[in-house]
Amino acid sequence: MNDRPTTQTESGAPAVGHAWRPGRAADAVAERILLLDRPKYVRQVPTNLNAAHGGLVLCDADAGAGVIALRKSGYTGVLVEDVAAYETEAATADEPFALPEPGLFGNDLESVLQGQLDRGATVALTPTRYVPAGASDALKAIMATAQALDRDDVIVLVPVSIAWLREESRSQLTSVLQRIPHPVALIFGGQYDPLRKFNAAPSNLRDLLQEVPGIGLWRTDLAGFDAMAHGASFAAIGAGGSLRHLVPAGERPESSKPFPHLPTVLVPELLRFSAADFLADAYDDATPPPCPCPLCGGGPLPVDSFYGLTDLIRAAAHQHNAALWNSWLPSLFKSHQLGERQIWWRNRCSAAVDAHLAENARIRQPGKFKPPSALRQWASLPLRDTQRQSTSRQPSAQPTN
Amino acid sequence: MPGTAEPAADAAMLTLARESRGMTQLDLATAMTALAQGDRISQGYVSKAEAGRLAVNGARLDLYAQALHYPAHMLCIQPNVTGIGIGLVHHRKRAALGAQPLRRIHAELALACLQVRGLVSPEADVIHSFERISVTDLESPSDAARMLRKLWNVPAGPIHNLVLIIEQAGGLILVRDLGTRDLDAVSNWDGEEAPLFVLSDHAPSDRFRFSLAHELGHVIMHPVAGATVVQERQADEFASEFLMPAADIAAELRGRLDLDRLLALKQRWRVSMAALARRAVTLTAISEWQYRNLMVEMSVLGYRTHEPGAVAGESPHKVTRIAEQRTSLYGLDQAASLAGLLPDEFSALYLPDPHLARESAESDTYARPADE
Repeated sequence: MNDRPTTQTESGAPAVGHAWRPGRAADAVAERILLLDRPKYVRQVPTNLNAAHGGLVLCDADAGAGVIALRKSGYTGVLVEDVAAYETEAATADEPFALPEPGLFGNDLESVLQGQLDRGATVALTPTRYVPAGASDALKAIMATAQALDRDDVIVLVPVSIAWLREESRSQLTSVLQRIPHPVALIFGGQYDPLRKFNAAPSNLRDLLQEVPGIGLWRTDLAGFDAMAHGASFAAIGAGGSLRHLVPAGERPESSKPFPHLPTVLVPELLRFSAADFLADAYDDATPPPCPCPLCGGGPLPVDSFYGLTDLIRAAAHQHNAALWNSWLPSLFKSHQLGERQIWWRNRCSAAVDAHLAENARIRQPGKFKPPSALRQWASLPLRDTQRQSTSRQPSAQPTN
Repeated sequence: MPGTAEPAADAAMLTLARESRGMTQLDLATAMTALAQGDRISQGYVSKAEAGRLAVNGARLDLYAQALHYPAHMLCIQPNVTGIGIGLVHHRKRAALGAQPLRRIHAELALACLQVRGLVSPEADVIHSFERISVTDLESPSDAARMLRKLWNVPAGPIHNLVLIIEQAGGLILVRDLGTRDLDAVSNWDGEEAPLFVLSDHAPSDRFRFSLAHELGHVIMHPVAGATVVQERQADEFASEFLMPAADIAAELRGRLDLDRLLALKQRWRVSMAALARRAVTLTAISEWQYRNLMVEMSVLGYRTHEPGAVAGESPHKVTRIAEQRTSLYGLDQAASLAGLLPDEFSALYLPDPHLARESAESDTYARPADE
């Protein structure tokens, strides 16, 4: 275990003391925002993922089969298998991970992780169960098991209730994460948008990223960009609404609208995901804004083509969303200095907040688009730790096998 | 007896005894003067006595005792020697409580410790299962609460009688009029003998229970009392988890949480609606926006000062039972003397059954067995 220094190093290493160590897994995902999608919506080799800063996570109980299929199809990019046990199972102190039934061959964690790599995954991802609010015994069990993993090709997934980000619990979460000697992929669960559960959530998340450098934000929305600008090592953005926000295991999703929902679509200048029916209503009597993504090719956002519940339509929406935010990655990663990234991201968010007003005026529907609260916060929260360098391209202290 | 030193008052005890009566040095000097029949006692005398700069014994000791309404021998006890110093006092109070009333209450607690320790039998009455549980960056106050529930075999779900659980664990609980509405509870534990909790009798039962759980958190987690914001927050967190374990209550707080549901949950969990709403937002079962709305509604309806749906009260029995046993065994005067009190005050504080008190007084011939 390499304890890290408490001050910034000359090489620009993250400035806090904790147990995270570089290695193959850390190198593989550093400076990347991955697309997280269901295998059924990824039938072909994705073509709009940024080669240097993107990648793909297949998220499903059958993700392994998808990984094999994609590798056979010739996909060579970063690929991760997320069996999403946290969607349905809560972690306990005795069983923090979802493993095959006892007695079956390869039912231990090491075998499960090796199986992912054997199928073609770039790095292994622990099949961690969901940690509800207050379940600290389960959280510490994840930590203890992770500490015993003697390999550098694994990312430890830590899916926790957003309650763990509240002031009352954050220090304990931070302490646990600091003691995990592997890259950590952190998911926050909660009904609706977890980061909107309490006002301090975006700011507390930035604090956490400062205190535990090297972690990644997993199964999130554009908060992945905010995280990368504030010290996260990597992120994974969900392709659809249910993949951007995690409903806690054991809970039914709550919604103000009946299910099923139409796909959500990323609107370029507004930095927001909106449901296709909402967009259809908004642009019923106006031309949708132009979209510069490779799929839309600069033409008007094809709102009507996302209006439907079929897998094909949903897959098209997912592809548009991914293509659009992947096109922003070169700008985000242009600088290794977090301060410059933060300025770029804050300017984008600020412009997006202003764009809401302009778009409402253009379509003559005052108040139709309201800036999401997280976007408003990203546009206004102060810059921090601006001199720090990103975690990219640091020489590994561990020899790789 | 030749060679035997005359009993003299302990300076620190003189201060404690006076403060426990809420008297200033001048008040005490005036009271002693009134009793002294011509002899004038000055505030300076009291000050010097409390500073240990003059000996208080003989007739002066009796006068002191009479003015303070304590037995003379009680004033000769060294509080630090008997472990009733006020260094380990935790309290759950409002900011409005001034320093002087707080000193009085601390003194009352110190003397309550002395009284109870005088009554209990170390062999039989103070066996307890309290343990200190450290809070670190990895072990939270909630963890400590869960650990204690496990240690004490408290079943999952609501705690129906917190007082009973603490008394069964060996804790000693007193309910007193603390003379102020700004303080709910104080506690004291030296880490060895059974801890003592003194609760105000003014609070509604739900608040009484939370205060007791809060003090339980202090004695379990905080070997050094500091009354810091951090300690208070930790004690609150401990109390929330001890009374409303996250694993058991989270599912009940989800969904539409309105005042009717809070009221129903209050009956089940025996904590206030406000505490339940706070728990819900802490566990993110509701958003901050929903929490604020609930608080506004409760405020408009006056629930912030008087919540509906009072829950049944809980009364401690252990100390009373011990006092009754001592009274039956030794008679009222001697039992009171063991507690360092005069009989009338002992009866009022420890013998809620006036019949027993009277009966004991009448049959004061109950002598201590010769072989004791």
